[in-house]
Amino acid sequence: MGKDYKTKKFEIEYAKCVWGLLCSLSSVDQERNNISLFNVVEQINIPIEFFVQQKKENKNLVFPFSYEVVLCWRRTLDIGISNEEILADFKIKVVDPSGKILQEILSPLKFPKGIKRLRSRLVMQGMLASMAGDYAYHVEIKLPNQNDFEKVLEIPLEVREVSSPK
Amino acid sequence: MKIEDDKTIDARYVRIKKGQITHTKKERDWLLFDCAANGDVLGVEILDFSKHPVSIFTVGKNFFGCSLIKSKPLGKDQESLGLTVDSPEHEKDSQFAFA
Repeated sequence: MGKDYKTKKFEIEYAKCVWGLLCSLSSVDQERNNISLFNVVEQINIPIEFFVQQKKENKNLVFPFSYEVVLCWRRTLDIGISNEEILADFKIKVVDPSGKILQEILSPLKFPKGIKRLRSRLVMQGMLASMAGDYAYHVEIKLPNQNDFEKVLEIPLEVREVSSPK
Repeated sequence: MKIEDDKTIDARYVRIKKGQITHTKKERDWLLFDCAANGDVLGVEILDFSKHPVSIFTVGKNFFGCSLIKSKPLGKDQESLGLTVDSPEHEKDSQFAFA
């Protein structure tokens, strides 16, 4: 037991993802330092013609749909205990209903000294939709003490196929 | 995407996919694209990475574009920071989509 204690590597979790979601628009109140999220997106309706066209062209098309991926991160240790700069990276993987990764975004994440919380807002102008069904946005982080990315959050999105109004 | 950091020279290399690099395209003084003969981007090199935090977008296994991250402290107590990453289609001055 004593040996285990000596050889065990204690991993410090420097930062964690507190929450994340998709929305049409977010707006930050500069004075109060709060964020407003407008139209949180859980489902999008795509006209059936889009999928028909996609099949015809035999390639993934971008559905024009403006949205934001908003993530909130925070230090796990209080800045009174550890106030070091944290340099990490995060990835967002857009996974379709068949499990295929359609899109990947790699982004650095830097907690400067004295900063407790971070918000990441990724503004997207379109979405790749290979089929109707349940999509997932996998959020992964690679902290300074880690060799690989670790999934910390999964944001679901349902894509529904709808008939266009006549 | 595989990240290789060289902290001694403050540079980052992101390998997008394997292949033979035939030429390098200089997008900015600090942003270089290693390309294959068919024009595919195989790797992205970012110099002065601490000054140029860049997000990289891929579609499938292909490079789609990259975007400079804008960050600013928020509120009076400055204890949190807002980072905005725009996808390559957005805001032309901060994006470097490869075309």
